[in-house]
Amino acid sequence: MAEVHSRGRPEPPSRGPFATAARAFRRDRTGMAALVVVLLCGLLALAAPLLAAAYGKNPTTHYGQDVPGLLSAEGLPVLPNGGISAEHWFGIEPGLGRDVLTQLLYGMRTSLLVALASVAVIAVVGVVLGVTVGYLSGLADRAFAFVCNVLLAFPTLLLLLALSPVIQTRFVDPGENEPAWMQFTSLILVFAAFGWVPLAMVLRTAVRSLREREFIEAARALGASRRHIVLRELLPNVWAPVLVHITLAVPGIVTAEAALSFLGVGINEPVPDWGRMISRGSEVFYDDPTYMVFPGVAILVFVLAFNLLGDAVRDALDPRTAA
Amino acid sequence: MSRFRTRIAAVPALVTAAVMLMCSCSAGAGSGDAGGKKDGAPAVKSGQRLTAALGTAKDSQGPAPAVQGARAGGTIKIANLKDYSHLDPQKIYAGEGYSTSLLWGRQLTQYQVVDGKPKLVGDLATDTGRSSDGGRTWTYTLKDGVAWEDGQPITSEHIKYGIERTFAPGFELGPTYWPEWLTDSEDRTAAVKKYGGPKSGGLDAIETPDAKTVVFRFPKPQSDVPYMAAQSSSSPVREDKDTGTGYDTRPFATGPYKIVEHKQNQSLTLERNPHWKAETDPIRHQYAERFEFTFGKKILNTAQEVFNGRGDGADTVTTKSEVPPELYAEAQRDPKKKALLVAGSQGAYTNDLYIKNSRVTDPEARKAIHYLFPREQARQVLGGPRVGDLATTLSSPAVVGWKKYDLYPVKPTGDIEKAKEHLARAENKPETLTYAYKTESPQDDRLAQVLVDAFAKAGIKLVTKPLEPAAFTSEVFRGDAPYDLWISTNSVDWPTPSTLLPDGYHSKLDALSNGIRYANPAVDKELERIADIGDAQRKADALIDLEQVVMKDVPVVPFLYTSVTQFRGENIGGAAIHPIYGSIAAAGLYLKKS
Repeated sequence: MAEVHSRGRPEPPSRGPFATAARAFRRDRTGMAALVVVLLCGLLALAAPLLAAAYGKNPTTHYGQDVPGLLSAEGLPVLPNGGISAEHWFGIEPGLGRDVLTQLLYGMRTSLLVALASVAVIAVVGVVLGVTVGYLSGLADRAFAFVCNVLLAFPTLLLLLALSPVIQTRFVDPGENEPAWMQFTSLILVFAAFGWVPLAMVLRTAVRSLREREFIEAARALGASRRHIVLRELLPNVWAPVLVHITLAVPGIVTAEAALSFLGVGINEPVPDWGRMISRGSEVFYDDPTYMVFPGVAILVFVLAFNLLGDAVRDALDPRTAA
Repeated sequence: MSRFRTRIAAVPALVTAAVMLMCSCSAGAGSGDAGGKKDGAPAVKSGQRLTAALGTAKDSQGPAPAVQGARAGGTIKIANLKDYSHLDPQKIYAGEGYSTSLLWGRQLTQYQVVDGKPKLVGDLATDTGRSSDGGRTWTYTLKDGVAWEDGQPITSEHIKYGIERTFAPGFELGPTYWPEWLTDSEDRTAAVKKYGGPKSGGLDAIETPDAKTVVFRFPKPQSDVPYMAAQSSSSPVREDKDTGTGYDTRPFATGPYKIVEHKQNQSLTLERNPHWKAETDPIRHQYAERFEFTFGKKILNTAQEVFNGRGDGADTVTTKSEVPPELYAEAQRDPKKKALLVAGSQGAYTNDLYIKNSRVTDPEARKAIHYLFPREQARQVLGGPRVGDLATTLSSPAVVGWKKYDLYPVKPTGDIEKAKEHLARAENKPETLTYAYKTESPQDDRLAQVLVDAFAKAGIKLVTKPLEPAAFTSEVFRGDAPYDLWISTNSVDWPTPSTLLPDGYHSKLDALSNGIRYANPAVDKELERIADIGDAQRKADALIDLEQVVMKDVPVVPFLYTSVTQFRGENIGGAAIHPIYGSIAAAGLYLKKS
């Protein structure tokens, strides 16, 4: 469910508030533009293998090394502008000579996969914990506040920096490559483990105020079970903050993942990755500035679109700003 | 509120993106500088025949041949990323450390470099040593007028004390040849059982009949004593100045400069040593008034200052680091910056792809690896021809008696077809191989990808194992380590072949020395025979011939005769790569104006 929402395509529910929100959203031109960009990114990522096949290149072949005349002896593209040509539309990577366009497309898959999977886990964990604790209060609430504080104080980046070699040596057989799923899983788990805290805290506060409202009182008076109250009465009323939170969390995770890969603890070779592309771009910036531009602009546009979308979703759902 | 902020921010962000796209046009490596290409290849001649000849007693007299155009005065700044982990002469064991410590330290012998050609001459001694008794006895006579920084003369006792220190606990880091040779032991551990350093009294094998004469008595003939006498471990140490661990940060000087201050990891300041006499020293100069070392600044920043002459850049040189890859191509394009590059062969280093012979047992499989190895592509991701010339031999051309050979010629990009033929012939064909590498920089990951690609084309799955640099040696160099391949640099300890095969290819050696677990009984026998040869030339010839026997088994795949490209400030004169130590020789530097 969270995945559907994070793409910013909330199914218009039959109930009033959402219909109103959808109308408000449709009137927001920036929001619609952002949604189009986001959908396009999603489509490009999903269709990457098809597009690559149509384009006739793949992200792992070392074209520059296999085909003479593409890279100089020092490993720099021979053609100007990073080796842009009819063969390689966005040029080739200095050194290994891989195709930049397919690297970008597959890199987007990497970013989106990590971000969406993390957000899915964050949404489930955050909603369940936030709503439950908000309703229960008492000892559960105090324990929750303590755990949240501990997690917020945790040095996430340092943990990842330290964790990466440990995973390599502990869980990977010396005769095997570290499987890509393991890299993805550890990133997603770490992002999720720390990412649910803000969401859960927001929901806890929201539920606390809802708990005292008349319709909950009424449900309780009618003898509804706790389960019923949490799932049927409270949850439908906190969807707005959840939606806003996860649309805004996606770009944050995309940049965090890129930063980790830049530092060498994210996704490793040969899986295409934007953060690693930028890191390579910074190494060759003086000689081949073009190479830095493609992943840089891609990440900028991608993150900006998600942020604008998140803003628009919030505005549409907030009765105070929605006109 | 935030609605307003993000949307307004979107405008400059998109403008930035557009501007970036427009400004990002860049020239290709092949365009525009075709003229530069012709003379563009750096003056790197890696693996030149730089073999160090033995000089005569006359060559050993000072002063050192003057550097053309040199003048005295000024302060030279040396900016290195890291401080020296050891300055104690008996603990220094690295080319750059050897080279730079010549500023304050002198040895029995040393390499005199004239026009880039090295010649081994007497330094504190009057010549490179006189052997008798078939190479069992070596006699050195000290020169007149050689003195410590406090003016006291250097005596044979000081030489003896210095070498005795190499037996002491805490000196395991240095070369182990003196302990092994003087006591005829397999390794240092066995040697220190026979003699435990200066604390257990004098070592009988070194005699000092008078203040000027040192006599070494070896149980077995030793041919390479003149070269060992040039190592930092052969520096004199005065017992009353031996401050133990403190000596590691501030040794007592015998060379043209003395250490006046050493703030660890910050700075090291040298001033002229008034008691050093040029007429006793055939190697060193005393042009600059002071040397100021600074540590900690990033090399990229240092290089930018040096290339652009900003700040102290013009007077600055680095002895430890190479030109950062980010700046290399730019320095090649700009003639002004190109003039500041200092390139040369990295001593007698070679870089090879090591194959663990105990895991890849079939010689046909190893031959297949030899053929499929994509030398050209691998060098391309490392930076291209500037990192070195492609090698065909195990030892470097800088080694005495080196002969060129190419037992299994292959084109530089590798020959997958030939590799497949050999794989088909192999009795146990490897399906999967493991390649271990140090994760020092992202280029190591890319090198791994180049290998993965080539092995995949030949039908072998290559598993890549990135290892922490600190853990690499202990992980890979043990008998049961589960890694098949790694790339590593090796060097002889001095430019004769006698520390290459005997210290790495005898089956009785431990996994730290013989990491590839090479074992060939015929080679073992020949090595044992050669060990007893006392004549340096005959020994070198025999080892060079044996090298081809070893390489027939393809225990390693030769990759590069490595080169280095360093940089100097515009005002620095006399900068050249030391042909033996492989880094800018600090002892020959001067300031063009000050």
